[in-house]
Amino acid sequence: MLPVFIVVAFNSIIPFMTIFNYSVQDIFGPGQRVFVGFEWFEEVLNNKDLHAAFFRQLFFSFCVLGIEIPLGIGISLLLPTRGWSISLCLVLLALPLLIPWNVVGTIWQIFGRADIGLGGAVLKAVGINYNYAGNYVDAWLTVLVMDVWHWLPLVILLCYAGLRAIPDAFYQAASIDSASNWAIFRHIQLPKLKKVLVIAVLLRFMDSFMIYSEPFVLTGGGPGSSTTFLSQSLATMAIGQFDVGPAAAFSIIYFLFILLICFCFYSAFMGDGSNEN
Amino acid sequence: MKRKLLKRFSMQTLVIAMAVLALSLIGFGASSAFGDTSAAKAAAKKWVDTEFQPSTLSKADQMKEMEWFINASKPLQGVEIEVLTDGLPVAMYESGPLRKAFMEITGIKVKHDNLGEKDVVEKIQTQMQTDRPIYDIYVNDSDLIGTHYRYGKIEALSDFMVGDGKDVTLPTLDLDDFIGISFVMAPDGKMYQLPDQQFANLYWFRYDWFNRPELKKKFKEKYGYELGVPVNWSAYEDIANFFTNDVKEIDGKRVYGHMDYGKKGPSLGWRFTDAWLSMAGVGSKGIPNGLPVDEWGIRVEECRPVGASVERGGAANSPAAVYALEKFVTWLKLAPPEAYGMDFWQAGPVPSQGQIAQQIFWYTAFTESALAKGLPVVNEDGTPKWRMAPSPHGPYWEEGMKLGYQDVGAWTIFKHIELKKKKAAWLYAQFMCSKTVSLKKFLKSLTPIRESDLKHEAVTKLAPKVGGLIEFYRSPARMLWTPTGTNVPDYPKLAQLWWQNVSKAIAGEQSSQEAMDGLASQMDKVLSRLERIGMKYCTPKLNKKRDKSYWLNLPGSPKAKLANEKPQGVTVNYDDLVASWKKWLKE
Amino acid sequence: MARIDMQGIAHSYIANPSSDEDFALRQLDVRWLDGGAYSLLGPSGCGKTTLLNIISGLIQPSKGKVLFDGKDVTRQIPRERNIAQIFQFPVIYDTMTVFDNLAFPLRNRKIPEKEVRKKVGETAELLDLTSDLKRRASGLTADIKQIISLGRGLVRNDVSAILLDEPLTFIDPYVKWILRRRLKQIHEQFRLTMIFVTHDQTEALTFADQVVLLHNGHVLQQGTPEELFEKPAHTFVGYFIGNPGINLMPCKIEGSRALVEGASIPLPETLAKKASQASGRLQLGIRPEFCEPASENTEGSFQANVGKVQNLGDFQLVTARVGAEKFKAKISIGERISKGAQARFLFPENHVQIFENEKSL
Repeated sequence: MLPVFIVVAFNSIIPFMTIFNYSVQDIFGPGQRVFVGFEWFEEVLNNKDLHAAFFRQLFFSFCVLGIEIPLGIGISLLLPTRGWSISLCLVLLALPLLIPWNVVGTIWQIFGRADIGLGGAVLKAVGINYNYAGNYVDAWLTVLVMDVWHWLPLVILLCYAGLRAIPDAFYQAASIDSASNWAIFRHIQLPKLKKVLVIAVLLRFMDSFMIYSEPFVLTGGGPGSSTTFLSQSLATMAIGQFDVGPAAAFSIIYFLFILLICFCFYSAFMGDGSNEN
Repeated sequence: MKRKLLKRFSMQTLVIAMAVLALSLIGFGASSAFGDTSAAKAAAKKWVDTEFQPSTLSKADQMKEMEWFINASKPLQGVEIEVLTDGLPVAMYESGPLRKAFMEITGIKVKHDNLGEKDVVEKIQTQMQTDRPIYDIYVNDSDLIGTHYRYGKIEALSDFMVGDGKDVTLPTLDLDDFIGISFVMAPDGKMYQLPDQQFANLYWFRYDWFNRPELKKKFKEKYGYELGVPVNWSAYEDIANFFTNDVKEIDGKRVYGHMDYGKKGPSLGWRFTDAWLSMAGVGSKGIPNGLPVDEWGIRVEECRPVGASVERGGAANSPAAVYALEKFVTWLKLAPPEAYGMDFWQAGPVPSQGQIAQQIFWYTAFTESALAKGLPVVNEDGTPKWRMAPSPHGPYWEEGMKLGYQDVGAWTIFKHIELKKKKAAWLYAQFMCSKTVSLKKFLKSLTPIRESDLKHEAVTKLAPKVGGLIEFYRSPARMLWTPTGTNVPDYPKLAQLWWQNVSKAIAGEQSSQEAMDGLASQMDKVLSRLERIGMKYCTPKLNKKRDKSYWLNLPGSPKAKLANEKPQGVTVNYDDLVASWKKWLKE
Repeated sequence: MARIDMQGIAHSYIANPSSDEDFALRQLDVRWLDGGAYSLLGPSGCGKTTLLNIISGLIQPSKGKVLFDGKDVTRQIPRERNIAQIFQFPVIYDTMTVFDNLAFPLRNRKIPEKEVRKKVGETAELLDLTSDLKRRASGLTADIKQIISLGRGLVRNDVSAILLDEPLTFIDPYVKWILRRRLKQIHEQFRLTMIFVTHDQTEALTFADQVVLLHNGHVLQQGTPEELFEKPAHTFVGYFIGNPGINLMPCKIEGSRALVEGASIPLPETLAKKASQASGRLQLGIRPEFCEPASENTEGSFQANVGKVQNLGDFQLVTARVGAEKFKAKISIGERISKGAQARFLFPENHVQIFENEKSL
């Protein structure tokens, strides 16, 4: 027990206590701090910019989940189930996952430029007026496409693993019962994927709700504030301005919120069917 | 019997061996204290002869300086220091050959890291917040002079030089020779940093295009005055419109009359704080910085900041500041469309690609990269097709105000560094700025620090190749180019507020007035927090809010809105301008 | 319902089989009569599931034909053959109720809802599932799930055969018995062709009218349980069925007797004649159940050393040795016989078998 306790204390409890300590003070340096009570919390909760960033973040996560989960399931159904082509497909799919996140942002930033980027140039040639730096719709679309490119493989791989775990007997029984492909999907594959999908949804939600480097490198949060997400606001506060007081308060609220959503998700999904054998 | 003999024999050998070892160690130690000065001298001679030429000093005088370094560093043998600077070419030259020379000559070990500007500021902030010696010495922009002074954590070098650091202060340092010395002085009259590298933010233009007869004719016809270096913003705007909308193409390529960058991020911040507002005319008269209101719009009473918003006597959201932002936003439309998504580093190389006619905000740090062979903006013989000139000023600007921005990277030492390392670091800094080394450093990096260097004939020879840099630095105009001053009490915290607010106006989310109002009130908030916490010196003391009109009606800054923000455009011919400077130099 | 013929069936899972070893099923011909209750019995890996999947159409055999009522259905997929198959582990559709599970095959065939309700109700009643119809299938125990699987087969009017692939594997032991009985009842009621695959001889022997014993991809014997017990056609059949299996001892033929080490065992005349003409390796086989203790003057008895005597409640299991050969005998509790002693035994003629190269003569 003791080793576990030490590790957890080191990694979580002590930092958390430090953060809480910071969140109730205004700190400009060692020896220069003043206790401010809940002033930071109040300020953060009333900050209109943060509200906007929050809703933007929610909307982003919502879009991301809405695209990546169905697409992930769909593509995983199309992957081969036998032979050497499995390895090839899985490796190719995993490649975007290996790229460091700020490099992903840089790749797309260049790709989307109309002068030197392949994507931007193609769109320009086709006649589409595309400028992710000037137009907020374009910026949003680019950030979404970038995220899907980066993380869809994770969902695909999870679903693929889930599908492979379904015993053949189910497919055989369905075949004997004259089930159509859609019926097989709806009654066998999808239910059996439930646990895997919960993991995928939770992971993607948490990651997309915290997303930072990719959009920051791509658009810097612009144009204006259209792609400024919560994490960026937090990072600016904490690292750019070294304003650890409000940053600590903000990060506590951020953390609690993610915890709350994940808890709700998990309970909702795992609540039924918990007595499966 | 035999064994006994053997034992005795081996005992003897052991004793003798140990004695020899001890003696040689002492000898070695001694030589490294005294004998090795010959090795150091030889190294110094080698460096002076091969690398440190030319110099404003004679070789003999250079060797004198080197000998002083050798002697001063004797008690500091084997001391190790860690240095942090950014990665500009000048810094790379320092961390490369100059560091090597220093180590060979003084015997002090140096680890010199080069990181991006942002990371350097982060490390400094960390060291400030934690009081832990992460690095022994930094090269840090003198923009932080107000911050360093008020937090009281930085060593006041002028005190150190006559106090603890007396025995390690170069007698021939000659502080008066430094062109940036006034920038590193705090309100208490002490020098807190030592300038190491400087560059300015100037106006850049295509000298060859501005001389084309058909373009000159066309411009005169449309606008009624000569095409030339703009003196005011009206002229700049006219010229920008001219190239982007009237001329459109030169030699078959699309051209633009303006270049800038608008990507949301920290580099957008210094696009403004590096004196965009003072160029427009925000702030009071006063060199190096406006008093009582500086180019950030911060007002001070004695040395205490009292507010940034007009309601408190500041000028951050004054009509002039709004005008400045407004012009930035409208002119951005005259730049290439990609500019919206570029940051400082991406926009830098663009003029060199050959499609930009002029750029109002251009750092001379890019000089060397704009001179590379083969570029569309460089002639066959290596001379540039472009020139740099003093930037135009906006309608709110008056004589006696600073105009543009000078970046001064300066050696900065924290108080909490232990004395030995402090001394070693101070030696390193002086070495980098000594007259022995400084001319060569300037010729390599184009970042001057000494008046004497600027007068040297090697620099005169260099002038035609660097597009007007030398002419500027030798001109009276240079006096109006200064860094951020002491009105700013906490540079890192306040600087971050700029890009977050300004970008909203660029995207059209807010009007320029709203954006500047937001910025001013956020700056006021930071000032009030500093007031609450208390600073070592010159703590902010916020004014009570009053009606804007009260302040706007008073003379000076904040200035009331001008009836005509676009007076007649005025230009000057570049060659005439340079000739007038030469005349001034002679006097 | 249908009569199912398998002619010349052989199957390999390898693309290009080269030797006998590559085949899971090697050349078999089996006939399953309409309405019969069959057990497909054999050790693990002998090819039972392969055979079953060939019948249902989940696998296409490498060689041979499958005929339903004389019609060649070898290339038909399961749906077209109207087979119902129940698997080792209970396959039900978790998200649906019991009702929907039973209705699933019918709805997939686009049968009108009214008809569906009727059929499902009937089947549920038959299987005692009526009270469970509204419940979610996922929460039920394994045996009920298997019954539901069975129900999915029964709910269809035209089902030609029901194939059960070791369906009791995941059922609790005491429930197995109930389920077996239920299956037997269904069979008696509907007279559907039912093929029950298992490696457990008790299951096979109690369920089936006919047992097909499979080993190494070959059908070793097909017959009633009694036939397999009393007259195994192959040493393996003798070994696999019965507990303990048949006694096998190498022997030589001398006239009308078989000689095993020192003992001389009388044989029926016809058997003795066949055996003496045999050229292969000969073994004498007799089940422990048929070995009798004998007295000095019993005709045909012989002397053996008693090694071990185990009292197993209903009987005594004696392990004895004649010469180097061991054999087991089941004798009644009352018999006095002790370890280490010499005793006389009799192998009755009518129960003795001779195997040449593993096959019964």
